[in-house]
Amino acid sequence: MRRPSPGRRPAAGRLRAFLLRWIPDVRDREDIAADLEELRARRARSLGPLRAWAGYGWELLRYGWALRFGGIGRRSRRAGRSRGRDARAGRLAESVWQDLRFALRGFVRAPGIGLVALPTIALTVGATTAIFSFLDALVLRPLPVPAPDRLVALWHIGTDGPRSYSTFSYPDFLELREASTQLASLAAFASIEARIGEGLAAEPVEGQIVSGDFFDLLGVEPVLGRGFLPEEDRTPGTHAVVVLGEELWERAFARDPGVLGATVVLAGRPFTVVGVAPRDTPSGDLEAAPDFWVPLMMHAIVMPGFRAFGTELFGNRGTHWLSLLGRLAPGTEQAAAEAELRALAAAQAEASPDTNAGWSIAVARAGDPRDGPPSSRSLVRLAALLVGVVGMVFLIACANVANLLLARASARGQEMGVRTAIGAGRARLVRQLLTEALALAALGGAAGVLLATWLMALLPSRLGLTATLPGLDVRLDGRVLGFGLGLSLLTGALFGVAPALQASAGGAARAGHHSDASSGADRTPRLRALLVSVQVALSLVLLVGAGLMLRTLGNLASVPLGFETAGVRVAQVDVSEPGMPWQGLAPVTEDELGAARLDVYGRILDQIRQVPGAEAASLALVSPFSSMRMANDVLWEAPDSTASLSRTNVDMNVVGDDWFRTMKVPLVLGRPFTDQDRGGAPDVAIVNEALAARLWPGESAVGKRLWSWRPDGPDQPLDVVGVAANGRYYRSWQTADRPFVFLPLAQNPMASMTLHVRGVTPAVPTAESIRAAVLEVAPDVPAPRVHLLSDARAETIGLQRSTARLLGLFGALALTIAAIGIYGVVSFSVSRRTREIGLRVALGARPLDVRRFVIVGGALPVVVGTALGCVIALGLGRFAVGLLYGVGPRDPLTFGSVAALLVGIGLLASYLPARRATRVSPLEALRH
Amino acid sequence: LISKLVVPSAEEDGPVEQEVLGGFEHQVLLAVLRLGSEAYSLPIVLELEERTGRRMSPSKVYVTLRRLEDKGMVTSRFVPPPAGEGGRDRRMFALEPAALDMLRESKRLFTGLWDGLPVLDEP
Repeated sequence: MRRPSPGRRPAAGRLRAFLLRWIPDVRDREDIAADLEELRARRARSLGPLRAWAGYGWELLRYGWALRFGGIGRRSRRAGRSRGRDARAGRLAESVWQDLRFALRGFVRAPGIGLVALPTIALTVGATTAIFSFLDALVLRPLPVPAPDRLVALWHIGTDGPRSYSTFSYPDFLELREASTQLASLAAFASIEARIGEGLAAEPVEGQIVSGDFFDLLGVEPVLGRGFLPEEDRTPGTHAVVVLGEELWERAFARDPGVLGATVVLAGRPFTVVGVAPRDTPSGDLEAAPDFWVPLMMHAIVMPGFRAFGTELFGNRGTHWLSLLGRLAPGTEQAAAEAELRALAAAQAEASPDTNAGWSIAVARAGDPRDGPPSSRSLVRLAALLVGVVGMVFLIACANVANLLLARASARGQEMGVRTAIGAGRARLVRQLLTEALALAALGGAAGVLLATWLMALLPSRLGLTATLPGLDVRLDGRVLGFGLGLSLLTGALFGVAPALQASAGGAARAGHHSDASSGADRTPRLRALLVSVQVALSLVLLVGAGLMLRTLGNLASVPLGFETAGVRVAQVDVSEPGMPWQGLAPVTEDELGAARLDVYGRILDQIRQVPGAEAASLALVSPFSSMRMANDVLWEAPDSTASLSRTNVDMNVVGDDWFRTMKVPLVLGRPFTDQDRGGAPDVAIVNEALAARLWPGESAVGKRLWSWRPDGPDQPLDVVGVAANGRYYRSWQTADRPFVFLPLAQNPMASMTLHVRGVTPAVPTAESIRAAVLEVAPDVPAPRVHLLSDARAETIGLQRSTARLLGLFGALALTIAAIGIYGVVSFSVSRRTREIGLRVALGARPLDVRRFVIVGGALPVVVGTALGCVIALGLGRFAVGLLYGVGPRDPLTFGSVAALLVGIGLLASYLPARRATRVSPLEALRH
Repeated sequence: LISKLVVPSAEEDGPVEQEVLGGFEHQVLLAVLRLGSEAYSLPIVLELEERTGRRMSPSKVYVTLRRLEDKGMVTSRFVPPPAGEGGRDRRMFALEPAALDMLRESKRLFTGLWDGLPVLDEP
């Protein structure tokens, strides 16, 4: 239902008043307004109200323009204002207006140029602006908090061996917060996942567990309610309060203010809602914006995977799990804060050498990935690469449009001559031609910015960036808009200047002549050939990049993982939730709890094995390619030192009996875990080849012993019963084969495990049947999310895939534009040299000779460009090293094939005009 | 007809006031002459539309009038509304002697040129 908007008339009136102010003199204004109004009323009858109103506005603008800039009405202007400057500015404005109208009429009269140039400009400006918006979101835009430049992120830097980035332990955090004078405040946070709601309806959400002063430190104002109070973060487990994210508040509570004080079930426990934080609250990284925040002290409830640590998580100095954010004290600079924190880290290392030796602290600007660990810096590299890539396409497109305008300019030699003859100076001509170029650029740029808004909505998902960077907030803000429009003007200047200078040279002498090949002063062909060379060079760089990325993708896809992903589905099963058989019973011992968990796991596995299509099923604490990584130090008896045990860091996983068979991980020695490896039996472990080779080179690892390291001394010994083949289990495909220790689930009953099910085919068993089987056994566990391991694997090379797609896309675009450019130049030069060709034919040149010299002439700039491009690509190669796998940045195969492709296309693009040249009839050509 | 000769002024400085009467200026002057004491802005537009049978752009007419004023061909002044009638001050235009001379001259020119020519049929 539509009803007339009550504000319409005043709005129209305001608009009219606004437009009228455009007329400088008040009395004129009233006079004109009344006249135009009367005329509008008359014309509304014949033209209709809409056109009459449009005419009203247009006439008003035109008259105002003439009065302001047209240099008219001088005599009637009373004040003796200095005439000179005013009039000059007026004349300039009027002649610019003239040029503009002339330009637009020209483009309408000869639409060919516009039809090619406008889409080219729109596409490039659109693509470049869209890409810039990523860079803006990623790097340039400051965090949306008060004084973002005073906010710093702290990193633990491992100084043993290669520089590594890590987080902090809780005792580290407390000490630093207490001791630092350079930081006004220091807050800690860690990202967590939990389920909100109960039973089947429980929705998985991502949140953060934060120290009490987190919101105060950021300076974030809650949308509703409050942040946390200091006392809510003092005693473990006592204050079940939660701050919701605005998004979740909207999604689940329809922005109901009554949510304050209400109880929500989070991770199976009731929490009281005390506030709602705005949707742009920084998450501290580029992960998705958090849905909720809970105080650190509630970690035992919301981090069930870590429940085994108990309150130890707060006492243990060796467990790094907290990210730290600080606010600089007034008058302090980042460097001073870093110096102080380094000293504090050194003191900590001295006081607790076991846990803190080898760790220092780095201070980085918060929210700036350039300053962060390598993983976020690689994103910046990707963004920089993107900008470089579109920059090249941008230059190629500029070169092409410049080429088009050059061709047009040569054809307009006569017009320019006439203009010069009747008194136009060169500056005047250049100005007119530049106005034309800028008008073209402005039109194309406006379309480009529209295109950019569309691309910005589309590209992130198409390039697979949404999966990698869910929190990336790409939008058209003032900076992006300014960039797009500025870019358009730059485009106009870039492709306008050369043709303008070129066309305006030569002067009146050309007035009577058609611009023709025989005029030696015309440098156009050489300039155009140069532009083609540049285009080819830039295209080559892009295509080489795309080629290298394609080879990298191929190599990555064929990297042996050490296990098989095809047909494996994984699902998180968390049996620590309420509703388990042991809930509500009298306090149980650790052993009883473990036995109960194993019982549920066993029944779930039995149920899964009944599902049609299930070939094998097992459990593991960490599933491949998940973001989780479990590592610990182990001790072993080094053969050369009998007294003490040597210590080394290994990755660990807790796996069920059938895991090696389910994942098809070959055991090279010994046996898998069996029913015998239960609680009470001797503790056992399986190591991988890498660890076996490091600890016991040349010996059999089976029968050797390891100890899990604990702060209070070595744990029970582990008997090594088997050696498994090496595997690449992590997201980062660059990690070499890390030393690995597998422990049996039966001896380490964890509360939260991942189900691995191998199907007979990738299609069965379905995710639904797996979920149903789990819920059949344990109806109260939250419905697990089931995903394919092969999808998780594909996600790990998402960055490479995005880069390859992008480079391929832009490379193809560049190649197309360049091919058009080559064709245009060669065919243009053939048509200009018709007389010369005719002469040659008349003197006895055969068609083959003609074709050869045309093709050679056309291919020469291509060959020059190819050589130039190879040099540039070789120089840029080092920036690509981090993205490549199994192929060098100077891969001769890639360079060779791309160069061959470009030269081939150059020859093809010259061949068509060359064929036309052979049909030149000498008689006609000479008469020409 | 006398078509307006566009001569770009040479450079930024050195304005050469072109005392050349354009075709449209000619028409506007004739309209002012015809309207006499009724030569306000809007009636001039309407007069031109009626006489030429074409739709006129008022801003074009106004701009031309102001340019003619700058050239010393017409003068303008604001006239208050007649007593008893409400309304606004209106800008009224009147011809200067120079304009009358020029119109006289052009009439002589055209009459001379047409003299003795057969009447042209519409194509």
